[in-house]
Amino acid sequence: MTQVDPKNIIDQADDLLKDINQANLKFIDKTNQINTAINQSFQAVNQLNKELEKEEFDALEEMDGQILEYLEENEK
Amino acid sequence: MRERIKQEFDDEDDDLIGSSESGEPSISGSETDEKVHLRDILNSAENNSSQGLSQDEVDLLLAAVTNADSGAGLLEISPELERPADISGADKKPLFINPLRERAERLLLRPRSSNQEIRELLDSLDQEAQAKATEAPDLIESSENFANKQLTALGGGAEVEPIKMELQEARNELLGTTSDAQDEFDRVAQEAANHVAKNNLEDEPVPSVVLDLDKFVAEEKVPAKGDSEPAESEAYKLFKELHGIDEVDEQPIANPEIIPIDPEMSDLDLGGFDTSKEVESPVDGTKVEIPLRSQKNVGIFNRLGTEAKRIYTDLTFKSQGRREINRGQKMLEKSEDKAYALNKDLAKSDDKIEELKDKLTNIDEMLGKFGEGLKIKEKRAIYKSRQDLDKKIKSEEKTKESLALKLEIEETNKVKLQEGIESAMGRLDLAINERIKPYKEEVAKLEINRGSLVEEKENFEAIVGDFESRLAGLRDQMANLDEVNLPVKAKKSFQAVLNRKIKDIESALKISQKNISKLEDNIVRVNGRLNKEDARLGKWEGIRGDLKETAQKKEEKAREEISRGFVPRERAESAEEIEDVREFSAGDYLDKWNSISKNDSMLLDKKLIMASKGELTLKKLEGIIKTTRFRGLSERQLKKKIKEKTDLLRAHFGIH
Repeated sequence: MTQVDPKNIIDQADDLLKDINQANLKFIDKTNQINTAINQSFQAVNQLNKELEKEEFDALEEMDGQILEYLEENEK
Repeated sequence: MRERIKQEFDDEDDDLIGSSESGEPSISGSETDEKVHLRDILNSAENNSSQGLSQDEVDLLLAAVTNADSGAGLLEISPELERPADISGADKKPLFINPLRERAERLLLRPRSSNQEIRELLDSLDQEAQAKATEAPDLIESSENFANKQLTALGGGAEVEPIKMELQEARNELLGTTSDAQDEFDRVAQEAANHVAKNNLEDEPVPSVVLDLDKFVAEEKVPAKGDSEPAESEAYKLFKELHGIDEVDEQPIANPEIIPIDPEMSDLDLGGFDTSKEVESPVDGTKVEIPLRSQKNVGIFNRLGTEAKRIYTDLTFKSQGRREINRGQKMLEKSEDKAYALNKDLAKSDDKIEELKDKLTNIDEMLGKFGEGLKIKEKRAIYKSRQDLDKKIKSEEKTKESLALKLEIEETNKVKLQEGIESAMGRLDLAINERIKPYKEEVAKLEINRGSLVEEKENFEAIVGDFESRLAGLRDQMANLDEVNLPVKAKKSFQAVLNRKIKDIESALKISQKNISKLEDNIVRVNGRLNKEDARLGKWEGIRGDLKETAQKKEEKAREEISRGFVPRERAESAEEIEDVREFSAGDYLDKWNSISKNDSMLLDKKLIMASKGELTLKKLEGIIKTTRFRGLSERQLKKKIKEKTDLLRAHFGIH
């Protein structure tokens, strides 16, 4: 059996921990880039949707007003 | 027993010490040669300042200096330099101002090279060890001899057995301790030698802290802390230093945080205050709230009568959700239906008036023809009928006026409603058109990024799997560590280091798994939000589609009106009727003319007119009618009647 070198095992352990740390950092970095882009897109669609909902609300408010005024005139 | 043995050896030691003291040559006895030798040593050392004193030379100097204290050394006190007698109670030791002594002291104090220092120390230790190495066995042998003598004197009876056992135990203990001490000494000596060789301490000044070997003899302390790592022993610190395991290799575990995906926004709250109204549901009669969206609208609603409120509520319930935007169109259709109904009533009223007028004309004609031959009674009856007809005509004309006014109001209101709704819907349509393209682009980006997240997750899972395999490999290697040929303490130190590193690796892998989990949560959230965005996009596209459809219908209707004139239509018209309305029919026209002319003798010959050559357009028919000789009417009457009837028929057929 090949003689085990404790120092070599320690070096392997150090390398493995270093690789895991690097991989974690790289993964988080890449993932966070994508997550940031996704959040930006969601913010953009939220803003667009907010504007459209405001326009819809205003349109419905005006329409409701027109209908109510029409009904009021017809009663006169 | 032990105390007795110890006392024996103490006595022996004293003897030994006494003999060594007495065994040393009296320096004063051969002082001339030794003094010369000492002077030579001093001269040599002072001349060659780069070289240090050897240990022998140091010993000699020390002995010389020491013995000078007792007055028996080489360095005699000069009588003339005796301490003055006026120092009362003070140390009676002589003053050492002998120049040789001074020189010896200076040389002793001069730093020697550390390498030489350590070598000499090791040599002295070695000598000491060799001396001591035999000491313990000698001690044991002496103690055994002594014990045996004593036991023999006691006669070997039963009382000697416990004594024998105790003696045996003491022997074993002494031998064991000696063996351990020997091992420890060998190890430290080797490490010290390696340290010197590694760090190449030649010709360097001796550090202020001399290598204190006593430190390495002390037991390794076991830490009493809780979960924290054990305190490092001095042996472990040196071990780390020798094997390059130092603080630099202690890697921090990276624990980066993953950014979460933003949660959904709450719905837009556009009402600053309550603008809803509680009404009765037309479906089940329960109380429900309907949105009115502004205080102005709430005010108008509150002023409405019951019927109007009912119409509005009904409209709201039938157009909920996405169909809410179609409420305006539905209201317009109701308005058109109302206008159509009014038109129809107006036409009926007209017909009625004509009918009554025809009757009146007939009466007038009768009176004109036969008036003189009639009896008074008959005349009265006729006059009465005439008055009744007049009244009816007037009443009907009032009704007609009222209907015409209502129609006018309805038309005006309808136009205003239409303009308002078209304006609102037009702005909404424009807003959607402006934003739908960037909206779709962002949703497309989201789809792509979502795919990227899934891909990242899968890739990282594979990488983590590989790390876990490597960790398993490390553990396998650690299991074979026992077979390594190393001292026990070294093995323990390696094990401790490796265990700590394995823990760190496991912690780092836990962080990896935690981040994969967080990413999965993020992907689920993205999926949910994408579905919501699809629904929102669908809503806006649907509204845009509805608005387009409404606009198209309006265009089609306008085209129809231009081509055929206004044709008020029934909402529930049959297909046949719709078809008739779409095309102008001369036969229908003639039928209608005759139906309104039954009482005034202005009938037309349908067969004859239909047999006319060429197409019977409206204009041609009206021309034929103008030139028909209708009997019993003056020119003024003819003109007036024909105009009234043709206008009525135009209105009926939606021709302007």
